[in-house]
Amino acid sequence: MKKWLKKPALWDGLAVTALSLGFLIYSIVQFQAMQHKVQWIMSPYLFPMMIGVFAVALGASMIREGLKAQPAAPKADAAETGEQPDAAAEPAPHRSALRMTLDALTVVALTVLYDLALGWIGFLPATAVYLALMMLFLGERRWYVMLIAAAATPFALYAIFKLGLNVRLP
Amino acid sequence: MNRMLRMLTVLVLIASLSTFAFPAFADDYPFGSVTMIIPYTAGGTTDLVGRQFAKALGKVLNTTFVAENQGGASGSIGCQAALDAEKDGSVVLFTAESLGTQRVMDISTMSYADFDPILVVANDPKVIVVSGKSPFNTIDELLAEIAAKPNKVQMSYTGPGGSGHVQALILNQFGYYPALTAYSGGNDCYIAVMGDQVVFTNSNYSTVASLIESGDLKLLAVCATERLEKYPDVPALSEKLENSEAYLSIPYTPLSLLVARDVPEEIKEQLRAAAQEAVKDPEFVGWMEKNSIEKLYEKYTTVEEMNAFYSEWESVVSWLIYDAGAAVYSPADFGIERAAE
Amino acid sequence: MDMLQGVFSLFADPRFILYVLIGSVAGLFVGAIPGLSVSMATALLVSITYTWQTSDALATVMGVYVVGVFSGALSAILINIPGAPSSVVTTLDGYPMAKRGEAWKALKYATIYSFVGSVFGLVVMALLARPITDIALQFQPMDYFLLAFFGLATVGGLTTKSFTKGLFSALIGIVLSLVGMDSVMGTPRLTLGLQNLKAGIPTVPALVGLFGFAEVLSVVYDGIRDGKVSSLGQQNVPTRTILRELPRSLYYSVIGTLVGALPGAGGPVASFLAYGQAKKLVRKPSRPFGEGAYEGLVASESANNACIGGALIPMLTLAIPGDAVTAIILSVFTIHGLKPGPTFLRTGAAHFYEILAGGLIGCVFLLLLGLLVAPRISRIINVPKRILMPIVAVLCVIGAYACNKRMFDVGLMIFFGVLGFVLRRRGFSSAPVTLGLVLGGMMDSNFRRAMSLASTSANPLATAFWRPITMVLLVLTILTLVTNTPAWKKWRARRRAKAAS
Repeated sequence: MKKWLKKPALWDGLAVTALSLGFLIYSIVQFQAMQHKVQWIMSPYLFPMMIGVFAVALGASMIREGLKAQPAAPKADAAETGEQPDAAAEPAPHRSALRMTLDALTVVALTVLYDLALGWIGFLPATAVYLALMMLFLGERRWYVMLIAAAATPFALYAIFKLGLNVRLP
Repeated sequence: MNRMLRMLTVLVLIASLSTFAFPAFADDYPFGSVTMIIPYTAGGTTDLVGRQFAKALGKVLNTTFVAENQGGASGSIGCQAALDAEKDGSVVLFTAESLGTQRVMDISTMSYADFDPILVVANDPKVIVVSGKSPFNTIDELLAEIAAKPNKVQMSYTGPGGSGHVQALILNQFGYYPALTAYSGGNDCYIAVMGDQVVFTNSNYSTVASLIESGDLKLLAVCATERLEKYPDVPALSEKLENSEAYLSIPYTPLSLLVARDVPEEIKEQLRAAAQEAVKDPEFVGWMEKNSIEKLYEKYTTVEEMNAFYSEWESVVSWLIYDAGAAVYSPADFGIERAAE
Repeated sequence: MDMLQGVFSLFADPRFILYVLIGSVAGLFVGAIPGLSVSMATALLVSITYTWQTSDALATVMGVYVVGVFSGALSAILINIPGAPSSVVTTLDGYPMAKRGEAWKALKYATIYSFVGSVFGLVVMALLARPITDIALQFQPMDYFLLAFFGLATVGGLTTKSFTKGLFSALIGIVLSLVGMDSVMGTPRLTLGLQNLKAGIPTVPALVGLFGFAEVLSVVYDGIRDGKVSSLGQQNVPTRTILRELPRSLYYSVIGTLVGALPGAGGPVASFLAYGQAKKLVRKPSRPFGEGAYEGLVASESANNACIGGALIPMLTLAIPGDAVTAIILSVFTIHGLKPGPTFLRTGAAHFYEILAGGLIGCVFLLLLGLLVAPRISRIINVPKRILMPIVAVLCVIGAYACNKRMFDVGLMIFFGVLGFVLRRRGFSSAPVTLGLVLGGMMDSNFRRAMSLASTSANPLATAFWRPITMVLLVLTILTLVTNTPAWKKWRARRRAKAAS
């Protein structure tokens, strides 16, 4: 692999610049479109434009930083990117980055499904099923724990929200 | 695990304890408590009247009307929520005038036609106020200043399409051009007046009543054709602007109770009967009178009258905004005809 | 003297105390559940209290208010979900503390300094209501703009790693805050044509996503399934040690009370400002800020609780609510036929005492409940993650839904969760995003409002800047900006090196 491919800071810089440029161009287009209607200083897109310029500058400086930086060794990089090192975490078995991303995506997908299911089958069953599936996915195998948690939580929540606070639930 | 269970039990216990606060359910409609969506933030005039009316309605129907504020996007978010809710009368909407202008302002595709009126309850009169320290003591002085310095005398308003904007547009019709600055709510508008940021504003009377009493604000005029009972010396704006009755006789903040069009007719009828009963509640009437709120429910009693009122309102205001160049779409696009002069 | 008598007679009224207690317990639970904010709880409660006596209703509402604002800190510290926008800053140091097994210690700090802040705010409200109102009225759009700008300058304080990345996160937040109907022109902007985005991005779902759901995703990503958030050490800190922070916390409380009295600012702004000040004041924190420094916790909790007293001030003196909860208290008044306003302190003195006493008794309950509940509730972090995280995810969904009752908000929450997760992976952090989200709209609309005012006046420059408050804020902002530039820092370092040699 080429050396610059391994510079994560450079990639961050490029991504930031691309996003900011897109936003800046969008703001300028909108600004132009509004121009005949309002004074420039009152335009709703004045502020977004200023932010766009600023963001592009930031992106550029990140690219510069990224070019200067030494390519990081993959291991150290993984430790760096986590926001806070998990002090109490037990060492996880090593898994590939792809697998880790897939895991996270599964949870997102499950939650989206849960979101939809709320509309189809109602709060109580949807929550119970979702909880059970999530626990299963996260590695809980003791069936009684799952049963209790999956059954009790929705009811407790339902009681608090619906009866106690009179909040409409999905 | 034990601890979790214990915690859950405690939660359930507390939840069930807190249900004692709810009154017994009636057999007929409503089947439990009713949610009243108020599509504006708490503390404004729609909120205050809405909650007061909810209390009176609750007494009649022997249930709780839970007032729920869902502000945002000129009231369109709350209105949409009321449309999306279940159509069994368990959700009602108490809103101000913005349904009439949302389409031309490109705020939403909703209008009064998507709802059926239960009752047009009240109108909070619009008043012109200046700061207590202001050099202007009468509406004549203020109007003379605006005429002398067009686009220089500053006025705060609640943003394009809002009721304050409509008032400014009416002034424009008679050759008065104040300099407008938009604030994000009615409160901010009169704070701006008290903090000497702007010269005057156009507020709903009930929100500024106590400030007028204390002298922090000066009441210069009532934007209507009649004076307020409490301040017989303060002129109505129609006295100062010739031929302005066509504009000023309209209640600009009509607060009404609505339900989605698809709610069954019998539930609407029950609600209407209850609403007619609720406005007779002495506590409610007393509150309305104390705050000088116009009792529109006396003016429009049948559904036909209410619908006729909405379409007239929609027509006058939409065209006023459109003619001033403030609207995005022409009212004609939505089949709103220009009212006969 | 009348005031003392009026307040203390209520302290001896068991019925009154009971109602405050009911409110406090409700506030504790509601505030601790992410997404259920204090303002929502009071709004719902008010419907129930319509038929009650005024004093009972006020007692309950004050209990909910005081304890609810505090208990946002519970979920912030324990599961990294700020219960309300004003607890965002609490997560910055609170959650790292919990991760280190110091949940109990963190909760104790939070409890004690919430108490200090609340009492301070209420006392100021009792003594200085009118003068503070007059100051608050002097704040003009330009001042709000500068205040927000000044708040944004604290962004450096929120990130531990890369300053540029923190800045970019803040920009993302600002852009997101601009979505929706523009309050000045009344046109939709950046809404991507979505009707639901016209009201702007709601803060609570965004917060719940950025913090809570992103945390769930991170845990799954890292594959720490058997782990707990932390094992709970039994380190009870002596109260005397905790009280050492008292002098500084009073300073944060002053910030909190003043900002609370400004309509349109409020808790989140106050806690961000106080945190920025803490970074400046505390030369040698126990740990670096953002990694579990209790000094940061003190700043955030004193300031956001002091906002309570502050927010009540304009409500009582001018009938202008300082925040969402006071807006609802205002409606409690009108429902019960009372009229707050300039004459209220004289004509409605009895109810003024009820608010004050309710608040103060609420503070006592805050202290009691906090100290009582903290050691128990902090065991939650002992629950294995594979059980806790699914429940947290469900809470995120409900929390996002509950505040506006829109399924759309749940989708938004998931989107923000993914955004927060990606940002975190790449070494950006979520806290500056929320800072931008809170301050961005305030900056934009007030800037243009100020321009609109200035452009129609005889002397635009003087109108915009030539007032004491504006000048002070301007100088402060410029100073902060200058001292944050690399050039200045280099110069300082060189001078220090010279002085040392």
